Amino acid sequence: MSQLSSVFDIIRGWPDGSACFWEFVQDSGASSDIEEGTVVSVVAASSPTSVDRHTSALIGPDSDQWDHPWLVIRGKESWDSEFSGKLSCLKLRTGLIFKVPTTLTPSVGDLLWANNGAFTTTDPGGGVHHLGKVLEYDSTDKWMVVES
Amino acid sequence: MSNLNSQFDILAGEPPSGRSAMEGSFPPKSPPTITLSEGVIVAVEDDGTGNPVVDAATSSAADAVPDYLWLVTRGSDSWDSSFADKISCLALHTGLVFKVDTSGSFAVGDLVYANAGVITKLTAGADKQAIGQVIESNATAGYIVVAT
Repeated sequence: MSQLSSVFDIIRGWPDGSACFWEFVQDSGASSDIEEGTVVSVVAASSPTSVDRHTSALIGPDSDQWDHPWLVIRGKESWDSEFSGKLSCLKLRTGLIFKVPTTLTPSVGDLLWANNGAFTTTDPGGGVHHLGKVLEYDSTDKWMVVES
Repeated sequence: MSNLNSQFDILAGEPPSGRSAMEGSFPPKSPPTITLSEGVIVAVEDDGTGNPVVDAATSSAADAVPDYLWLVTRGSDSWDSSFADKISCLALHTGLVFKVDTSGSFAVGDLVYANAGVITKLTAGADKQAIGQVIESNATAGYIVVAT
């Protein structure tokens, strides 16, 4: 969305119809710049609050609660994110439909989880909650539309 | 929000700027368990005559049917709410970021649940459904920011 060559887009849920919008600092421990379309979550006890790439899992003191993933909609590939030092995010599972480039070959209806910030159709098991569902997939241009 | 000395605020998700959350307005239970002020977590219940009222809520067990809880945004501490005998609420888990006073100790990433209407840190063995995650904690000013 932020780059002319990008296929990433928010179809529903932003800007006026959002979901839940927030800006976070990228965690200093992140392995590389976090870009749009990446799934992130807050880093425990970080100050200021920072985010890093997310892997779907049950969380909490008893590891029996849903995780809280966010989708980066403006990441380090954009100048304004670099300038402000913030990643703009929408909270997943709050009413979003978005288009994102993918290397997966999903089928419509596939459920999605996150693995180190990237979408995956592989269920990690253990009752981990999915974070969205594939609504459309274009095998030619390699993008998918996801509801969350 | 309704009181000048209050730190409570809805940071994202309040209509019409965001896709809130579901907004609702209910009479308080008579008498309520506690004063239903802004920032209190409530649930709808039957007043005994088939009419809905709200009262302070406690999250259900982690493996129970998911709760339908609401955040009081204008409660009995405000004149207009008292005058109208209605409590204004936003539904949780629908895309909200809110700031609420607390004297508790929280860290970024903590999960929270409702304990008799009060937002409480989810600790090991609590066996309660989380209502959201702390994304900012300021012990000096005495508030937390919760995403749900």
